[in-house]
Amino acid sequence: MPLTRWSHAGGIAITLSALCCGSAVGQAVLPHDSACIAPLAYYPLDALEVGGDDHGVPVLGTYERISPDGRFILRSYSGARVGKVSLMELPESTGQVKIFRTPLANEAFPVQGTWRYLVDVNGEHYRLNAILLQQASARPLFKGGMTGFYAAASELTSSIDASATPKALASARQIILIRSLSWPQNADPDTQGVGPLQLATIAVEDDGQSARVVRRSGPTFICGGRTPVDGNVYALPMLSVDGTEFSAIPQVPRSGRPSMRVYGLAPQGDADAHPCDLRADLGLSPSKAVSGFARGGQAAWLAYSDLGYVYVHDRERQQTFRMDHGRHRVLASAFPGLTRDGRVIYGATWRECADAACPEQAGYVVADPYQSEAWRAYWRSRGEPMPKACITQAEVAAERADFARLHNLPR
Amino acid sequence: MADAARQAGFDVVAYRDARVLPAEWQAAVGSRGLVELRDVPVLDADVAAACGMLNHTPAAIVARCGRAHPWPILGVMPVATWRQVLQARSDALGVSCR
Repeated sequence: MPLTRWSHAGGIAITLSALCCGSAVGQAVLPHDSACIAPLAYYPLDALEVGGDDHGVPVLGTYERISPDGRFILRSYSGARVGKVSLMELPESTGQVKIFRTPLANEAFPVQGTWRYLVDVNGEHYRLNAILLQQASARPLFKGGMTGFYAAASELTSSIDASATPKALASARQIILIRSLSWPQNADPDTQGVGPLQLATIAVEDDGQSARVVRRSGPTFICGGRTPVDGNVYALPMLSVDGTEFSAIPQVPRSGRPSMRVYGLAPQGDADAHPCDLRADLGLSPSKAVSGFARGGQAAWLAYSDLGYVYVHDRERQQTFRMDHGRHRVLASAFPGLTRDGRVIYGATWRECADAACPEQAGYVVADPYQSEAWRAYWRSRGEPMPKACITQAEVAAERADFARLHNLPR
Repeated sequence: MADAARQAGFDVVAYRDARVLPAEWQAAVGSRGLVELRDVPVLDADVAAACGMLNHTPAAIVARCGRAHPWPILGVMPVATWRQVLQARSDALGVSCR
């Protein structure tokens, strides 16, 4: 039975339980939406809805992927109560987390950048709003791209080569390019030296109702040329949200030690070769590094967790900022994400009090990196004003509206 | 991955991450029929932290003649790649136990 029913026509979401409410820490109480968002907000899950462990702690799941507007979290290994993969919807302000079942399995992943589609590990693509409406009964639109564990996909913003577009497609219908990245698939062991990872690109014609793959390229081995420097085994690969970079940790580097690095890819969807140029090196081996959205011509920030804390890395300033904790014994999961407006969202466990007997909670944390102590201390130390003091409620509302419009969702 | 490592000549010693509760562990290994993993010891949190194994599960450490390679192998990967990394770690530790 679905845990949340979403009546699309009426734009009403009804949940079966209203036992838990999100709570914000230090939120400015101002009447207009130019006010800052809360520096930190905690949204606990309800064990009655998601299932609990032996101690009654809500099951958190294992992997979290964050939608560009921060409204949804795609959660893998969700536990027996809510299925293998579920979608969590965070409340707009306060309220409870809403839960949607999905037909997806394993490490299902979104097409980053837009979340236009959610992808099962077998390559089947589902429209987000179909899953929200039909939940586990949703049907895939098409199949394509890389499959299997550690696959990731992003929507490219570059156009495809017009001369390579079939005449039949020279219409007003939207052509969407999706690049996906994963380990080499069905590759003969003898070809492992060709390249450590593979890319595939599909062109999808989507009229808003139906969608079909009209062109495929790849899988193509990439970054074989980096073997003399980085070896040919990369762990924790993750594609950037615009598909033009990926992060990974080389496991057998020829010099130095394994560290999270960012490499460049060709922006063109039909590129046969990729530069794989080194663009950043965090110098440590944290969890998977997830990219944010590039803004103002600057390189996208990265978010990652390390020993229970979440960090953002500003590549332009080559500075890393630790996100604050507003609860006791907070332990972040391995998959934080950045929204388009810059919020950091992650799964975590925490306690409301310092007492050892205080019950553990599990849920999601929304942090504003611009209100973190680390960000403020950095600018204080430089004696300069902060270029940005917070993310505003207006910015968040605008992202939510844009995302709802793209996906035909109720606000 | 454990089978692939054994086939490549490695002894495999498995530990349960303390963050995975016993009931969840039993359910997971039971669902896959992995009887030999039912009663594995819990990895000490301090050891896990010292070995750089807390940021990703699964993670593997290669040891030879009482010396552990300092770089954990992170995550799952195709068999050929996995064996290649195992061998690289082993080679780096040296061939002699003297």
